[in-house]
Amino acid sequence: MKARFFTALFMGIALWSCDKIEDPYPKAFSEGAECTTQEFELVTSAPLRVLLEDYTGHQCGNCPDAADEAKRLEDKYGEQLVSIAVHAGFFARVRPTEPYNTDFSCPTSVKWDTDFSVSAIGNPNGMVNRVTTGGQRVKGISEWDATIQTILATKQATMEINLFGNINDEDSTLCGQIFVQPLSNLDPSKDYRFNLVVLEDSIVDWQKDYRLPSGEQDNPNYVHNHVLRQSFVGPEGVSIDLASITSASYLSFGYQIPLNEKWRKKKLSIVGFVFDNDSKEVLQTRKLKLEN
Amino acid sequence: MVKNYSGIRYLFIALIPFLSLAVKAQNLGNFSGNFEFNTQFYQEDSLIGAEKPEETALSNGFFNLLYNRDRISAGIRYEAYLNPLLGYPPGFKGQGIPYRFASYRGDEFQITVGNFYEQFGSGMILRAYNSPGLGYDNAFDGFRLQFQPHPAVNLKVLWGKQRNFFDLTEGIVRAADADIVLNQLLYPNKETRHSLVIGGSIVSKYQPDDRSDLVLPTNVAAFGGRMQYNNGGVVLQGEYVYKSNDPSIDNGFIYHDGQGLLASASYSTRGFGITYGIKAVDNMSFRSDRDLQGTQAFINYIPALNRQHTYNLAASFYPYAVQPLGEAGHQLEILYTFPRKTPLGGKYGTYLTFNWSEVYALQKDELNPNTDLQRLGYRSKLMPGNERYFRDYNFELRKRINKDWNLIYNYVNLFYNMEIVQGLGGKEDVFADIHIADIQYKITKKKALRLELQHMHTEQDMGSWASAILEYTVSPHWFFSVFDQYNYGNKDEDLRIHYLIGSVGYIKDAFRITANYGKQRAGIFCVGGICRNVPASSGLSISVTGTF
Repeated sequence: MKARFFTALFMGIALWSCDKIEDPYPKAFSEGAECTTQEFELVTSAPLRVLLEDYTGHQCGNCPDAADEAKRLEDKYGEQLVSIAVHAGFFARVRPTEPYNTDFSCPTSVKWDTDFSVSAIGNPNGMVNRVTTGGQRVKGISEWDATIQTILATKQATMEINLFGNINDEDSTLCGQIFVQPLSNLDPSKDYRFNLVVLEDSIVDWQKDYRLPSGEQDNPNYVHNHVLRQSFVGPEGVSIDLASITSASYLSFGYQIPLNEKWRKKKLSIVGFVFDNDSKEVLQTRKLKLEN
Repeated sequence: MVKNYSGIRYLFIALIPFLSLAVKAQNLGNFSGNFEFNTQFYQEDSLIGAEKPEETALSNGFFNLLYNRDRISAGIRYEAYLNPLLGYPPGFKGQGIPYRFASYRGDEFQITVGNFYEQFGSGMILRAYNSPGLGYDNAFDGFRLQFQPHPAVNLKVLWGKQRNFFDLTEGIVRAADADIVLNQLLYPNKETRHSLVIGGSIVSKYQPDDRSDLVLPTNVAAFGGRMQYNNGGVVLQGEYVYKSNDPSIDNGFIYHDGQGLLASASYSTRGFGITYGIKAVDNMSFRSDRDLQGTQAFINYIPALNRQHTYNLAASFYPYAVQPLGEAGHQLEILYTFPRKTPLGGKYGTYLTFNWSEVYALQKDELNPNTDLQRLGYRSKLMPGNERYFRDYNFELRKRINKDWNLIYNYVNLFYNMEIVQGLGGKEDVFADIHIADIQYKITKKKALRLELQHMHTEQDMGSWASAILEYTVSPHWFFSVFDQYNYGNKDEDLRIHYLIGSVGYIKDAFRITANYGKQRAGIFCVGGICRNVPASSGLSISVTGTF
């Protein structure tokens, strides 16, 4: 009897214990899913928008300076600048208890930080459209403005992006959709990719701030803005065959992800960007504030 | 959701007085246990990089209490890290009873509930154990059934979560193992010099899929098979394990399968022994929580296939840390004893050990991430690749000169790929030659002196070191020692520092107290290929241990 019981247990474990995944990437949603799909109006031209990635950490005392500079640049360039705060690396480490026990990092922020060796160089630092100038891709705060100016002065948009997103309260999910339209014939030899990420604004939490007087540099009421929360598609992005379509059409991709219970719905935005996977340069970007 | 222990903890604490009263009343059963308390008072020393924490003094301690009566046993362990000693994972901060169990043993079976440790085969597929010095404890919390339907057959089934500091992992582990002594099963009444043991294991973990950008396997299974054949002095052993796709933070969330192979052949006869072993592992980091790192939540353990040195220059500078994501290596060990009353053996015999081991990267071809739609990461073979991680050839000579003098000599030659083994990017490979002499002299029946002289020559890393220990023992209660490590070969003259430590210890029966004062250099501390970093420190440390 006991032997039979054990044999049954063995067989049971063998039967249910293994999930073999052949396709690790989630499928984009399609018509009929819970997400509402949208159509996108074609355009003949578009402004070039620039992506500023501010690599930061809540235990980095010099990082509030960088956040202020990002805010100043957003005010200066308006919709032509999209900024993301990427928390990763040593200064983003989490303590078991207050202060600094909130984890602002995510798998995508950690992977980007590792791939581009940003925090390895030091925080605060960042990237502007991930372009390499003067042999450096990672740029200090003082270089951000000049790099944005150079990009806007020398380059034009080769594609346009539009975004759509909505929050489903019923099943607590978030839908994101990205539309990419080439504005001219694109190079078919290039590996174009896009990414679609979620940001959260106005998170009041601890931040080390060396601008404050000694003894008060651990600020519990700091406001963290445009914090990268998650990528819909993972850190590597998704390949798109942009060269196969004409400027009179577009490609659209939609994704549905669970809404993290800690995220505040009214503070969420989505950002989409397309990049050249060989040079890593971001070619176009856009931000959409979600409405709930 | 992760469960915490608090409810069960209080239940156990509440039960202890009743258990104790029952024992006194009937005088049945017995209590036993052990404890350890370590504290350190830190001083700042900017030259060696020693920090003084805010608390100034930190401590780690535990107390084990076991109860046995006939077929029942139970136990608890209280642990306190207030706050954890520098170098220990900060997650241990706090105190509690993370280990408690009860067990009943029948004629053919045993059931354990609560916490338990376990090992299947070599551990490549499953091993839960505790190593307080490492800050390593991956005990299960659940239940385990052991069943022996025949004297030659042992079956085990377990189900549980694993310890994660003072909490539990999110993942659930289900596992089963069988061991069969084949010759005993087939020929139960026949005495034979051959024996053949075969075994097999199944381990499965469950963890919810928490990623929206990837489809993660919620159930990950591993299978293993093993055999051991003995024939007189010949022992042949082999084990192979396979793990299905297990994307994790360790492997960069790739879906590559895991494999491990361990095999050895040995022969021994009076005064002579030889063992040769091979090992290859590929993507075998197997944790019950795919998002944890460090030494937390390992379901399995990859055995080290190299000599575990004990003398400080050989053990603490460049110890090999096993690379579960991929490595292939081999080891040869030869032991020979020159018999007594021969020219080389002398009056007491002479013991020689030669050991040689090498570890290489695994043979891998990276896949182009743009076309790797299954996220397999790479193609691999269970064969050594080109990059060498580690090599160690060493020999040891042990010779008792007469009843008062005893001599041990070691030579160790190391190659150490620091970038890979310690993960320190930009560090150059280390080649080191180490000589060790351990001389013991018995002054009187109760007093003894021991002198350990060591030298390590290397052109890389921090350069050459010399080390000496002088130890004076007055049996059975006292011992005193002075220990110095001198980095005389450091290219930076300011860092040619003496790391001097004085120790005194008192032993009374099974109780021991030791005090050390001095400087401890930064390094790496490993047990069986599992390592943790030790930061530089300076100050007074006190250790109290005991068993009862």
